[in-house]
Amino acid sequence: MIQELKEARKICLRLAHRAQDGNLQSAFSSMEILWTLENKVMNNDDILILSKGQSTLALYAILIQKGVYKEEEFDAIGQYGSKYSIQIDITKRIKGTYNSAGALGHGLPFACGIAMARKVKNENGRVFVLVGDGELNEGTMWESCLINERFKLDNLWIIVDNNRSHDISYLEEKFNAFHFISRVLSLGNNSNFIKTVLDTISLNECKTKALIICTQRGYGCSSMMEGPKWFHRAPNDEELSLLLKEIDAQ
Amino acid sequence: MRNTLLTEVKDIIRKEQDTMFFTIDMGTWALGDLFKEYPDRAINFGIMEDGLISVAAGVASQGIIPIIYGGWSFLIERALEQIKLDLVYQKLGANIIGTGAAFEYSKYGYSHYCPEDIAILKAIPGIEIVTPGNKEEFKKLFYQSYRNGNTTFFRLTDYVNKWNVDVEFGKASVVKEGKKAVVIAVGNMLDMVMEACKDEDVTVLYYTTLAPFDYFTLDTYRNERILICQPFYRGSILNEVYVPGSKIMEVGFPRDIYRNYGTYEDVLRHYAISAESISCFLRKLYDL
Repeated sequence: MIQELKEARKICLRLAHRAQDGNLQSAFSSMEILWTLENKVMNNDDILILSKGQSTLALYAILIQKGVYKEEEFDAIGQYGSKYSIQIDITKRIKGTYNSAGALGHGLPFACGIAMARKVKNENGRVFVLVGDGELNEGTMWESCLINERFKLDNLWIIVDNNRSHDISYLEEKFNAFHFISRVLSLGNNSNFIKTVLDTISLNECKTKALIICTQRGYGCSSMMEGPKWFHRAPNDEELSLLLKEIDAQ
Repeated sequence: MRNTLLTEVKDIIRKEQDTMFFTIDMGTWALGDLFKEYPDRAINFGIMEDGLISVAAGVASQGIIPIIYGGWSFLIERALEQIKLDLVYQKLGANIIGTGAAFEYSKYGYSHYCPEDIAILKAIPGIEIVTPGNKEEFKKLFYQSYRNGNTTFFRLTDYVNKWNVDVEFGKASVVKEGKKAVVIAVGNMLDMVMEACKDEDVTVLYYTTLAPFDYFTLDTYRNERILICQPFYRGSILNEVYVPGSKIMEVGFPRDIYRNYGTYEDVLRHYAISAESISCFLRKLYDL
């Protein structure tokens, strides 16, 4: 793993430790996706919607790493009166975030609305939306697929963090049935692979893009990859130093 | 009222580039030309209330004003989480206009009834609720609020008042002043209230905006005796009206699932909602 991704995970761990809350396994599975989008793919016209709100801490970590924020600004994360919560509230005007996350099945249709409005306004730029495989059980996600297909939202990029929260089979076939341009990446916790797959997607076709990235929960931290213990749990002081060492050992 | 809405929507879409209209398969008979002329801003979205509210929030986040039209009960109850999180939580505004208030689709059953509408909507802070009594009032209230950036619900009715009041968004109108009690008439209850109160020494306050609630006017005219006349479940605005010492009676629908069909007039008769019953309640209220 490249050093910067290890560092992003360490920031994420420290945020969860300070907040004494968070969804670390889920944040770690999507770290490469968010890092690649933020650092290698997105330009100024593009925006990112977190339909999968559990990855909020990963996004904060990446924004801190990019210098959008100083880590000290997050010292009181989750505490009374803080600007920063475990899942984003956009009314707090947090740079680099565009939706209030939390309840699942909301971000994708919200992103469809943004994509539609941008077409009405003749604005450039792509709308990336990070989706969890677990939330694909929500009906609104499939309603959104109908919307994408019908309105030919070719400016929308659905990125599925398929960390096997919930086995949904034949996902690529399902997306293809909506006439999306779909790709599957089986070893998804790899920034170079993600970038390569994104680059292979044709921009000429007037279709929504769907990228299914198979990841591992808790990736990058050995004890977090075992079982669901770290799905919703924050490290204490002792666990923090242990987990930080595990990241270095990867 | 529905035709007025459709006429105004055509006008708004044609004149205002920063608006979008979405209908949930309603009123389409009158909008064919508009759909063709503005395919990207005037859309028959199909039957998808929850998805549409999220989409409208996304649209609103880009500075476009969404106007949504559909069935009242479905807009509120199927899409409640989307209303709460995508619109209100994110402070994004939309205009949501519904037809089929309370038991107006009387022949269709509970699936199409929504007498709990006001109680549900006002539970979410920041939502605006407008209950016009006729098409002129709808027009006035809509134009006073649709660009204000908030999420506003417009409760259309097919059973309109003949009375026409010079209403103002967010304000109650004083239709009549008197000493023995305050009668609160909401939306299309006004005709009935005025018939019952024509020879009574009471103040009649006419409410066409329920949220934000106009406490000021009520407090200015406050009387310990208050009769609330409302076209939805009783109790829905009780905590806005009540202050300690108040003697309050209510005319409205009881918390009941209506299963007898017929016309809307049959529903009113079934629940004894009439000018006579308002008079009767007033007598009781005077004696309290």
